[in-house]
Amino acid sequence: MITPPASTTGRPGILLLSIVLFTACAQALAHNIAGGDAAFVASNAGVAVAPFMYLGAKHMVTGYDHLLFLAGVVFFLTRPVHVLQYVSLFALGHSMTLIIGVLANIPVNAYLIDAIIALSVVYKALENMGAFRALGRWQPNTKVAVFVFGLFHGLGLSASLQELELHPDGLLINLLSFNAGVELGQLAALGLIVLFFTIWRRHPRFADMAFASNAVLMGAGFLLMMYQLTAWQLGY
Amino acid sequence: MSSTHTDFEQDMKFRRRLAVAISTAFGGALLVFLAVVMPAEFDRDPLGIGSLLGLKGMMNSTAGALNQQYEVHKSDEVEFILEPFQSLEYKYMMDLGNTLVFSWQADGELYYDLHAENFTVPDGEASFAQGSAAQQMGAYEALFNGMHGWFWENRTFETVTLRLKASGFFVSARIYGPRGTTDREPSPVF
Repeated sequence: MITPPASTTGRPGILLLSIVLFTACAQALAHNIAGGDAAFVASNAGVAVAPFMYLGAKHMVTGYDHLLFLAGVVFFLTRPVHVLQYVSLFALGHSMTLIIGVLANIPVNAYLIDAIIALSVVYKALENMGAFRALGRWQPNTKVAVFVFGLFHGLGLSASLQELELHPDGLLINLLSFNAGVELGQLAALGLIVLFFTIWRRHPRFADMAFASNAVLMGAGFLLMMYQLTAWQLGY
Repeated sequence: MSSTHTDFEQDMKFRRRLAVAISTAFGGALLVFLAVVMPAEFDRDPLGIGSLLGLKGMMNSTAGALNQQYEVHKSDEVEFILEPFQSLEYKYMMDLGNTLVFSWQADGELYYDLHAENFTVPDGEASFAQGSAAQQMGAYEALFNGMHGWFWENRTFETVTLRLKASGFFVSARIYGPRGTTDREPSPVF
């Protein structure tokens, strides 16, 4: 593992800060399935594999909290087999709760779940910064954590889908198509994220910037948490 | 790794660095949240910065509720008699965004087609509702400049009397009947 050198925040961290914060503010309301898509689902009865796959992919690609967590997960994963392991654990977790959540119509407060998803971003950033190694004898297993947080991400996805009036006709196939779409969207986003990290890791001061960037990631997670918790508290 | 520091001191330096990073991240997030996100999304301004930046009340704009109209408000009432298997069309000249509230009633069932012809796009027609009924009502908004209205056809063996009442923002009306087209100028409300 990389030992952070004893120097302070790097300037690229500030650029990342601005990008992440601006995106978080600007898209605060974008985290649900947009109006046109809602109209489609409400008027749809029966099997519609491709449209639901597209909705799933779109939801993942525009779900910046899911993407931030993914970025945190692969931040220090250099070997493709590790990326595959962790992403599969995440995918398994969110697929399980997405499917069970929608089929069993599990009632969850969307804002509360989104706050937990934001917490997962904070957690992952902390872990990346070495906080757990430094603080104690007991460290949570990284893989277990990714899987457990995956369960919560899936609950968030299920809550979004449940907000729409899914017609019982063809529900299972549409749901599975949606899930497949989520995975495809995840793959697409992951490709870009991994490419980004691969290039970045060649920079001589990557270790330095990594610490600062994870701090920024944590800040973004905190901001999202504050937004979701406030919305939850105000009864939105 | 410096050899002049003990492992313990290295550890403490790292922990302090960690603590600074976490507090900065949290503090930064809190600041942005209170100054920017709260005024913009929740219409609350604990620090007063939101009002300064003009963010407070962003979400309260009522632009969506009021649909500004650029035409005089007119009211129209017209009656037609349709012999068996006779049809006619009645349309209003409306510009994009003009709205109309209408209801029509007949003493027998009529086939109807609410549709519009586009002035700017040749052969640009759009049909919005078709069916068979003795009455229909609704609120209509023109999606383009053109002639907007109905085709009615009496597909029964009885003569049907049809009455249409409409109020809204249109330029004029036109009857497309068996004897040709006739223009009408329904009068403004005021």
